[in-house]
Amino acid sequence: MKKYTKTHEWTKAEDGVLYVGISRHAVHELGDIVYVELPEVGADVTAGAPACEIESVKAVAEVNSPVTGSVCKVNDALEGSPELLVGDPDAWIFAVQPSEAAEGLMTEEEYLAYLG
Amino acid sequence: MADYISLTERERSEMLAALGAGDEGQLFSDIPHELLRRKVGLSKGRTQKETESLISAFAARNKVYKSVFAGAGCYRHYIPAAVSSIVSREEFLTAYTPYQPEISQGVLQAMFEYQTMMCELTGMDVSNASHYSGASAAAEACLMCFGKKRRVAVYDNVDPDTLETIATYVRARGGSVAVIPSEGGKALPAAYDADAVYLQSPSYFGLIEDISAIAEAAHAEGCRVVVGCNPVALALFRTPAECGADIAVGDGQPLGLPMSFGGPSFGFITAKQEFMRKLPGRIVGETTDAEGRRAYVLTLQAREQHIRREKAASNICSNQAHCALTAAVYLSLVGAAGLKAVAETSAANAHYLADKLAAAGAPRVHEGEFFHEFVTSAGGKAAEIAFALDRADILCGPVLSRDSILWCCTEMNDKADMDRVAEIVREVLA
Repeated sequence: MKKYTKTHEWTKAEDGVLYVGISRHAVHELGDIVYVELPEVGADVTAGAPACEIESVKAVAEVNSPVTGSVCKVNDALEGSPELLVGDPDAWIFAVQPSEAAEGLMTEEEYLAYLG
Repeated sequence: MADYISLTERERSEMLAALGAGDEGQLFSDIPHELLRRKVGLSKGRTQKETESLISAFAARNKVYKSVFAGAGCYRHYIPAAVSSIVSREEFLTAYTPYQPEISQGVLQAMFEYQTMMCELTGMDVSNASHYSGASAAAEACLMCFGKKRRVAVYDNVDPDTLETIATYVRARGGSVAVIPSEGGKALPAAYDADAVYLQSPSYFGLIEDISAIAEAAHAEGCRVVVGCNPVALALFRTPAECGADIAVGDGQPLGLPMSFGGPSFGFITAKQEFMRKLPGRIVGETTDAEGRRAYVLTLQAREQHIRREKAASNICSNQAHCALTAAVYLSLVGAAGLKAVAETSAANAHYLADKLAAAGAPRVHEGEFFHEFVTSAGGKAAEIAFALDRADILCGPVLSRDSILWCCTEMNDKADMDRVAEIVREVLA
């Protein structure tokens, strides 16, 4: 089950790591996504702090890591085809090996209510 | 001012009422009373004839030398008459920033051509549409490489203004600058412990640096290489890209821009493909319009500061369009062969002068190959030499110390000039 952050990222736990993507709302707000700057495998990330950037035609937005830990996988397919994020709601950007438990994440219902 | 603002009295009263102000003076109430200037001391105005006379008198206080042997970042090259004729066209001179591609294809295409030419000269993959100056281009290029170390290494034999500008930009970002001493006027490979190393070739003293050796040492420790270059020299030497540089920058003044007491000019930034999204400033891209025709637009704009705001890599939001255009027109007119001829003649003249000065008692202080600038000793009489040359209507190279002068030759110097310089130097040193 996906969990959401206030800054519109989702996380899904699988095989002991946390996969991270952006919500449909974020995709809609960004518009045509033209580039995803993937983080480096091994990079340290902090909950709530930027891990990488997504560039659309009208803006460059940060993707915050929902949890503290280190990046163990990145979705290389996005390098040549950033538009995959638009078409596939389950398209993930990177995966984190958490060093701390994730806090303050919302369920899908809570997130939709938060969006109001 | 009132005559130039198209407001009716009624509109003025309505606005003041909406602001709750009795008169315009109250809108400036934040300014301390004692600082408000009551009267601006402008005279009543003069006739065109009086004004022309006054301004001419100011201009006459400039000394314009018949022969110039000074360089150090600003060079006197021959500018074909067609250059100013083309760039003075009103379509170019009065064109606004090309944010609306529909009405700006001319300017956009010209800037795209400029970018292409700079990439051809430096061997790099991408270029922006020009930066404010060579010094700020160098500084921004160093910031493009900023990484975990937040540290930039700069050789001490680069243009001192560029070094200072890099330091200003890097320190303002909370980074540090390490100055690496040159040896015998040359930059030698070192341990950098930095995110980027900056060197200039030809160096401030005119010597040609071994960029490949520096690049090898830098890359071995994960450090990037930013090279400052002279665009005219690039017609003669291997490109910075071929030598392993990551980013090549410089000042574009030698490309068809007059010296004009130091400006205006422009900076160029060119880089390898991987840096495309980190490139600051305005960038023009080629695309096709809705009907499949080739068209040009400003691209990667989401990264510019007016959209990215405080997270932008740079606060630059403009370019030196007209100066960059001038360079593109100059390069189009002289062509690759012409630029090479300018470079070859400049270098040949400099080598001739160096030999003559050595015979006159002022030998070079450095060893190694140079392009069109070189430093000689001056027998402790550098100031006297400069003065004697000035009396002969010749501008001497910058006096670096009592015993050293930085000379420069271009295709604008002829044999008689250079012989005269050597003669005067011999007389002073005798």
